[in-house]
Amino acid sequence: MILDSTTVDGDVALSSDVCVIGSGAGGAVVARELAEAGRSVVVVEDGPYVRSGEFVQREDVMYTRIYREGGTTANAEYTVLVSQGRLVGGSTVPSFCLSIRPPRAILAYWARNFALPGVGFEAIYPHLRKVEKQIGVRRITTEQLNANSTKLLLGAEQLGYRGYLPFHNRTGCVERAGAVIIPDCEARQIVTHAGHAAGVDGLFNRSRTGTRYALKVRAKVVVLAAGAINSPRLWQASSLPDPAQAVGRNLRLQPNVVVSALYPEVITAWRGIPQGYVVDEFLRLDERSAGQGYLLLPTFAFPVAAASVLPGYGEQHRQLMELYPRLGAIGIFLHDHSRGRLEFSENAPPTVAYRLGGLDQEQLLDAMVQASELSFAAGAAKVFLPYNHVVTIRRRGAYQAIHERGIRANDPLFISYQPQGTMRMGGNPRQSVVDDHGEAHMVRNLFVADASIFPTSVAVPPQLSVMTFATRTAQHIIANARGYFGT
Amino acid sequence: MRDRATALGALQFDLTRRELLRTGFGGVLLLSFGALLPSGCARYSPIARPLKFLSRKEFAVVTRAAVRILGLPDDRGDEIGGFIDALLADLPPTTQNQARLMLRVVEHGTHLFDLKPRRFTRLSPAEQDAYLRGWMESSLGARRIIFRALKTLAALGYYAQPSAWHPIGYDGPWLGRVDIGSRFTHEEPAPLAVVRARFPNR
Repeated sequence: MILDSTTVDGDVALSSDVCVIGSGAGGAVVARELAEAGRSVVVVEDGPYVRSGEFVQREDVMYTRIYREGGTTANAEYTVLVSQGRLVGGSTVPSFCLSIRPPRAILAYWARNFALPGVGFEAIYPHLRKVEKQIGVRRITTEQLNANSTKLLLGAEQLGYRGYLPFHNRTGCVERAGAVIIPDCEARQIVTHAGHAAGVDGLFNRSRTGTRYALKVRAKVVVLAAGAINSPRLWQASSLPDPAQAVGRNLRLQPNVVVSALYPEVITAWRGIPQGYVVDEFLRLDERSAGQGYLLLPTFAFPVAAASVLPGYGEQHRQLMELYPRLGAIGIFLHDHSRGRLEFSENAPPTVAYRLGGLDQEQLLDAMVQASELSFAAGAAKVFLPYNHVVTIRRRGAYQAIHERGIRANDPLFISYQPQGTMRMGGNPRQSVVDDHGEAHMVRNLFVADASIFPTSVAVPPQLSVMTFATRTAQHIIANARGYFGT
Repeated sequence: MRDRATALGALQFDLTRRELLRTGFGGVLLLSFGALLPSGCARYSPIARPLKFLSRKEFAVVTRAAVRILGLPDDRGDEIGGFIDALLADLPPTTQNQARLMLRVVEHGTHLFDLKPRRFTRLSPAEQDAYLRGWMESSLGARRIIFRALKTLAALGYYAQPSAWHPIGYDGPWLGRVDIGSRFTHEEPAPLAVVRARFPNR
């Protein structure tokens, strides 16, 4: 059930077993699991409920409707845009539907280095499989590849680079499990009593009269799943204890940047299934370290976003835009090691402090070289690098311009779709915020179920990982219901 | 030159101020500088269309910048400006304020960065190009940030419009053209009374 917020005409008080903050990959999964187990669940979502028929594929309409701050949130130096969905469904809605499993080596590294013996691949596998079945993941077939993805596959085959057809979840995943979603309501405070979570206070953004009415949900269990920027903000705004001083720290952004290529033939990259192939040749993971490297994925942008990221000025830019149907693009997805942090202030979104370190910069420069190499191997006539100024590579191997220009602030501009790590899990309460089930060390009955809990970058797009850990958290609550709910 | 160097130093200082670095419509925008600049519109031509958000001055800046950055004919300016005005009118106040300051900084930055006696909208097209390229290629990160914000705003004002799609070979959204039938269903929201009945306050 989803509340029609336009019918709200006064303060609202509700009681439930569970209150979940956020309806994205983590919150929706926890809510479903607990509601199916017979618990009463209220989900508080900051963003609106956007019906299927309201998606119109118009950038001017949708950016402001479904992204937090219209997609313009940035780090303090404006070198990385942080793009977060803000609607019922969270960042799973503006998504290419990639469903990549958390790498076995990353999980082993977490288990060994963060005192998390229960998060190894074998331990989480049942939860992973459950999620995969529930959201209907299927491997993309070669027949489904669009021209842009086919180019990446061709390039990888030519160069002998390792890659694969990934799993996607492309069937509708809306189901009615019994939870109630309250959209258009900003959670303002997690209420505690005697060291236990006791509910959530919020303010409606929308109502019948336009007044910002209050919402009070009293619950025995609270699950914080507002994402790696807003979950720590709410923790801090609620003055919850943080003896480890870990809340808002350890931020990883998995920065993305795009290398465009001009092909002799029409590509129409906006058609068909995007991101149908993954090159993981350069993602080096082992169980003894957090690993390093990057994934290369086919990507595309609609005209406004394309015009924003394509380089150049004036006539030169317009001519590039006229090549739009023949442009292919490879997205670089960095497994970053740089650690940022959030800086909090009252009544304002947190400031994102994040600076790319030397290793990450080297990896990104290498990734631009490899994306260029793959494009030429797939038949590209030219490659355009993602700088402000037009930097064109006209032949394979002529990549000195990449190293000459390097990376400077805002040039290129990176985009992060997957912030994580700001409330990391760990076995040691002096170094982490939550335990391996996502329960806060310092506040009983309070859980975190989003990408905040990852101790490092999970190295792949995190949607499936978040859902898996959220399932694990929900199953833990269900298995210990007597302790959490008293019945 | 000393005054100019002092002003630049002040901008650098302001860019480290936390309240200016919180979010970014195009980043942060040199923006406290913008707040000191005149906002009057007396010298700007009246506009035929009613504006929802932009002042005449801001409208003039954004239309000139958009057509120069995107390499479009001058006569597309009003249409782009009107579109941007409507978009900005729906954005949160913080973002709106940053956009205003950004446009003010661009208009008057000619005095500061290029030592020109005339403001941006009074320059010739060639001078406007040189000035805006100066922002794009500046060694000062904050100026590149503003240029990128301006370019994004221009892109939104022009390439979001269906009239811009044919020239670049984009055939438009398939939603609405392709029948997706009942594959994607949605749930109708329930009134508050129904929710209250289900979750009574105990």
